[in-house]
Amino acid sequence: MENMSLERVFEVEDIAGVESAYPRIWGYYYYQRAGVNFSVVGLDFDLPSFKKSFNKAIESFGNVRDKKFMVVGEGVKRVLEENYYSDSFNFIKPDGDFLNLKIAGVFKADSSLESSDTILVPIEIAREIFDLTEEEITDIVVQVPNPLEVKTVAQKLRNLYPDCRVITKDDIKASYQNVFDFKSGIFLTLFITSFFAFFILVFEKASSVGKEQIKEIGILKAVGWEISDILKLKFLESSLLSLCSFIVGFLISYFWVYILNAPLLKNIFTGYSVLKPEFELMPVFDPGLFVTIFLATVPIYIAATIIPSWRASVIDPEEAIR
Amino acid sequence: MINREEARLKKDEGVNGEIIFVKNVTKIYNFETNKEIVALKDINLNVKSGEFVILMGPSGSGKSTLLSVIAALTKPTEGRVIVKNEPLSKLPDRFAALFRRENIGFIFQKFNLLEDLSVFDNVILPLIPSDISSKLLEEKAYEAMRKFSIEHKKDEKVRKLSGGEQQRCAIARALINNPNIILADEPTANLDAKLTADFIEILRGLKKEGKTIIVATHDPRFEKLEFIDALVYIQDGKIVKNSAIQRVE
Amino acid sequence: MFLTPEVFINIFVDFLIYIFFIIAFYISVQIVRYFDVQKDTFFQYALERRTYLVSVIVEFALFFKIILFFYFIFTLDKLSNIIPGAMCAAGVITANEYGVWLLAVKLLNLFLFGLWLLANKEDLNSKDYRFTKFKFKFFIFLFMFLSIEIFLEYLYFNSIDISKIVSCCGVLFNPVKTSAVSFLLEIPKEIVVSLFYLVFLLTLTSGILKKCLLYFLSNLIFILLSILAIIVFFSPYIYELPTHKCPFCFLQKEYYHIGYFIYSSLFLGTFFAYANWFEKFFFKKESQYFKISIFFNTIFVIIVTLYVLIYYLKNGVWLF
Repeated sequence: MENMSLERVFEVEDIAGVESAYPRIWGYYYYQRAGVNFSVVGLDFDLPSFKKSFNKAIESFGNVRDKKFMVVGEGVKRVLEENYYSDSFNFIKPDGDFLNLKIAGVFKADSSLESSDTILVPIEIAREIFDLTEEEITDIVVQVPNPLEVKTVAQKLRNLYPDCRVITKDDIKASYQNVFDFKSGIFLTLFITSFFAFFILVFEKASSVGKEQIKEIGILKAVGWEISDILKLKFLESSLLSLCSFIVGFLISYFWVYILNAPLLKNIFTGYSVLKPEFELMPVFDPGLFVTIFLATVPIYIAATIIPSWRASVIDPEEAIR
Repeated sequence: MINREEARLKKDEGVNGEIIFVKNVTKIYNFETNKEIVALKDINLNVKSGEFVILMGPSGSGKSTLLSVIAALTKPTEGRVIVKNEPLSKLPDRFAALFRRENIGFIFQKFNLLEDLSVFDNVILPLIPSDISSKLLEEKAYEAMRKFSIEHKKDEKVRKLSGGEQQRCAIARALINNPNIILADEPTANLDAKLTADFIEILRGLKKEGKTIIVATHDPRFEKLEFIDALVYIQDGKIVKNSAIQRVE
Repeated sequence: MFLTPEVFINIFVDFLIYIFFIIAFYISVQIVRYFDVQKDTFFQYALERRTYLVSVIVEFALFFKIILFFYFIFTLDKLSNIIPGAMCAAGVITANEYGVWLLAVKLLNLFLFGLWLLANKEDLNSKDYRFTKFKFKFFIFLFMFLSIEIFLEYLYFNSIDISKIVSCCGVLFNPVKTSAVSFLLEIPKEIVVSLFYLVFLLTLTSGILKKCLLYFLSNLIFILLSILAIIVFFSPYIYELPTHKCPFCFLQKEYYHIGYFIYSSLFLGTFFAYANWFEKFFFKKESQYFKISIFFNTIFVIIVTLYVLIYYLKNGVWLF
């Protein structure tokens, strides 16, 4: 991919609606010894950047006079430590020279998925690492304060620079959502099979109201319980059962994913593009997801008990206790 | 008190004081399948209020089925049952259940208690669906348990009781709502001579209270009881002999 | 079809309910045709037993349909992250021509389910099966509506196109654009608000005087007027933004999910108004839901009015 010239930054800044534009350099650095790709992001540390997590890192280390430093993600830090780089790291420049950078700090993002493999360096250093000239940049960060104008500005940029890819924050969100939904779509499709297995199991279990139980129902009816009373009892039973197992299942899955770090399942969702620097999953509770799983499991169990419960409830008490 | 009770009963009776009408009742199990079993064939039976009736007959003759039909535990395949002027076999389940709960006490041969529950819990079973206060519920339960001297075992699990205690627990349950019709199906089949005698004493007391009682049994001791009003013999689902016993009041 | 987990769950649970409704429909047809209390046949007794199955199925369905109704709105909100142009459920629901109808039928069905359960209660409480046939005829009617809903839902989700850009609520509820309901949005909001409070007073008066039919009719107008008033008048106060008119955005977290409370109280209040009339008309029963209906309607009016007043107290201006 062709790089842009620095001039564009100033052109972009002149577009109506744009508050500010910053140059940025972004690229992968392959660290052979560990077999890992680092995302190196070169920023102008004197300017406030657009991302909160980056900002934090800049605020705490921006006053370092000597520009030869870097701020690394947690995953990078770990990989480096495994290779005995505890306070600095040697980059190999394209011309073969070493470039020694001090680790000025480790930054944390809200999700380690996005921060784990990132290295933040001053923009000049990034140019050195990727061997770019003073005028070359790879990205421009454009800030538009009014969300309603984002689309218009994006369109203007597209017209102005047909060779660039213009991505809005919403686009990134949508594409993440798409990828993840697509994957969970596959996941769900796979699991429909399991669902039906579950359904058959549930139906088997629920439909065989035991002889003892039939007799008990018969006794209750004989002493004056009506059909609706029996049905209430049966549904109380199945609701309690399904609700309890739902909650237990939910807790176990939290344990599995966030404490055991999701063995097996992790591979399905991260796909072949597994990020070598390991990432940790951050526990989140999403009420929407909670309801989704509730609706995926509880109705089916209750539904499976409808007909058996009804059958048991309408049985002649006389036949049941004979 | 007795008079008022009688007046209340009168309203629910037929012209000659009948409280139970069984009209042309036929009961066929597994109806319309190839395993049909005919249990009752065109039975007619009237019982007057306050009568003590014994249904006699060999096992499998249909006397249990007849009791079940009267108690609306099962619907007749054909014919009607009218109890206290209610067409019991035609009532929706809710009303049949309500009727059973309030008017009929049923004593089963095998007691049919829920064995994992305590005596107290078993006794209150008929009251759970009705929305009476828990205070009244307890009152009624203690009264019934006291009446049949089982109160001291109220927290005991039923499976730990002796046969006689289980019997008394079952009776307390059947009578907790003070029903005026009592149906008993082979009540003494699992009891020894002493307990049978006790049970007969209980029946005598109930008869004195003015309850209508039907006992299905093949225990010959019942035939000789001096306080019975009618002896009905059933064989192969038919009434073969219905002898009303004239007694000197 | 764009199958997100949420869409899948919507279709899955609806389908599950529909399977049971087909069984119940079959039973209902049998009962409407053959049920005869006078008969003592085995088949008649079997039919009597089956009536209970249908009640259980509808109770089951109503319970999950209520959850599912709100979940459906949640799904639309979630989809608005994916569908370009949409910022809330409003854009997603208008992504194709079926959405608005689907939402309307879903709501109508909830009301019908509730009414059916009332009919069921009356039937169970009558000794002579007087209302049984009515109940099952009504069920067949209900089944038709659920079929329409399922069909619309399939059409709706099937024709959502994520590459097509939809309008956001700012455009949709702007009176300049010509859409099916835009003529309603052109009514000056002063008139809408005055009508809203007038009709509310009418419901209140007829409720207190226990005029059943009038209460029913005024509540029919009230629910429609309420939704219109929310769009053109109340929602800007909730968003504290004069140009933001949307009946969906305030369901989202940014507004503390207040929408769920607002709509629940409105729907409950009007439902009991309809239930009142339904019981009187079909079961000749004395209306008994006036109090509860007035209670929920009043809560609804208080919540939306408070938003306006608090905004005025804080900022000292009306949003006109």
